[in-house]
Amino acid sequence: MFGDAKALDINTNRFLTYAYTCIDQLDWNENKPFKNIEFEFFKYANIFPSSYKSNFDKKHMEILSKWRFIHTGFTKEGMALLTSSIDTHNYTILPHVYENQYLYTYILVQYQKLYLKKIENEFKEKSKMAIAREAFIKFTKNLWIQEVTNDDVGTNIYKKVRHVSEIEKIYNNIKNKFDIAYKELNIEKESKVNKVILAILGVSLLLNIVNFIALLRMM
Amino acid sequence: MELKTKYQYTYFIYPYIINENRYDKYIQKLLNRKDIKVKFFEKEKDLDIYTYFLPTIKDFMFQGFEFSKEKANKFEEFNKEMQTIILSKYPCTSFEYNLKEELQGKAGEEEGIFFKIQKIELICFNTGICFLLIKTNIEDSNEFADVLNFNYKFRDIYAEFKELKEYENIRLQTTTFEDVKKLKDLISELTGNVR
Repeated sequence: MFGDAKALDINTNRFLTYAYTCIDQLDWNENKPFKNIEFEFFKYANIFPSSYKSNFDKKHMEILSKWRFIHTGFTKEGMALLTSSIDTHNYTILPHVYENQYLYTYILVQYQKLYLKKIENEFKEKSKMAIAREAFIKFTKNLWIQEVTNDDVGTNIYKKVRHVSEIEKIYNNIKNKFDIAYKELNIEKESKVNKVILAILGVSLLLNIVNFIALLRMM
Repeated sequence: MELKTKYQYTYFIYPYIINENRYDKYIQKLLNRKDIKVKFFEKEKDLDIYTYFLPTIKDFMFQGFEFSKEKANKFEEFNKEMQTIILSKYPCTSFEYNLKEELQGKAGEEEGIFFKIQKIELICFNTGICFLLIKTNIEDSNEFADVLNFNYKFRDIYAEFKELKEYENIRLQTTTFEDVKKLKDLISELTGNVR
């Protein structure tokens, strides 16, 4: 079992973290801006303990902050939404949407990532190359190029999770490998065809010579 | 800065792989468990999901929308083999683990952080890629620092290298799961992993 996970380079020791927290409006409101709690948000989004004091490298994370009182952080290890109770929507409707629509969007991207890794792994075996290619084309057609939702926030979340998970990189890597393998296969095929044509020409030439000699003898 | 929380929860997601050729056997194994049931999505009940996703993704991830109540009832009447055949054909199937009671636990050093396990779900794709989801929330505390520390600790509870000793400060206090070892055993059972 873990053999399969190891082959796909999955971390079997750590859960992905998908968190929602609404903090009291006393800590984040019109007069107390997000800047005051930004460091706490970074700790939360990066799944660090409360005692963490060092700086953060924002390069490894994505942030969605379209609304003043809802900030979502994305890292390779999880997704975390922080909001304020200043708006009742943030602790009544939002938690429901976050654990349904957005959670399944998050799972879909994690699935895409693992499935691409699976294809990449199968591609390493020559005997499975054709199957892997077929799976890759089907995946591209059915999942990769498909829009997930018309919902504006959902689309943004989908894009951000995909970006932070670096699946574009995995996808392009596989695509390049397939392109190279396909070209090699074509060259190999062409070279085989050329050899056959050459052989046919040789045989044809030989037959012509035999015919010509036979004709000369008859004359 | 001591932030206070009003409401919070955290899902811990464990991805795992089932051999694609044995996917149907795995589904049957889940169906044979009395504490697991198939999660059917319904248009009325799950209208938010139904209206949010575009048709291609909806067909891919939520097989239940195809099931009317009558169809779902009929499905329950089939034997496990037939149910397995039906479910294995769908690209994705979700299962719910029946928690006998909401699980309370304690994590942390000194006083500890109390938490509940509200929900355990499995999402299985017929390519053999599956996810185990554990929904938790902190009890008896509105300290944001507790959320940070709990998330930081809990995500590693299934770590291979961790000895039980390291879990002494994380104790699940129910009759169902006496300690984290029991939860780890359940994860292993459900995912088919051997630790």
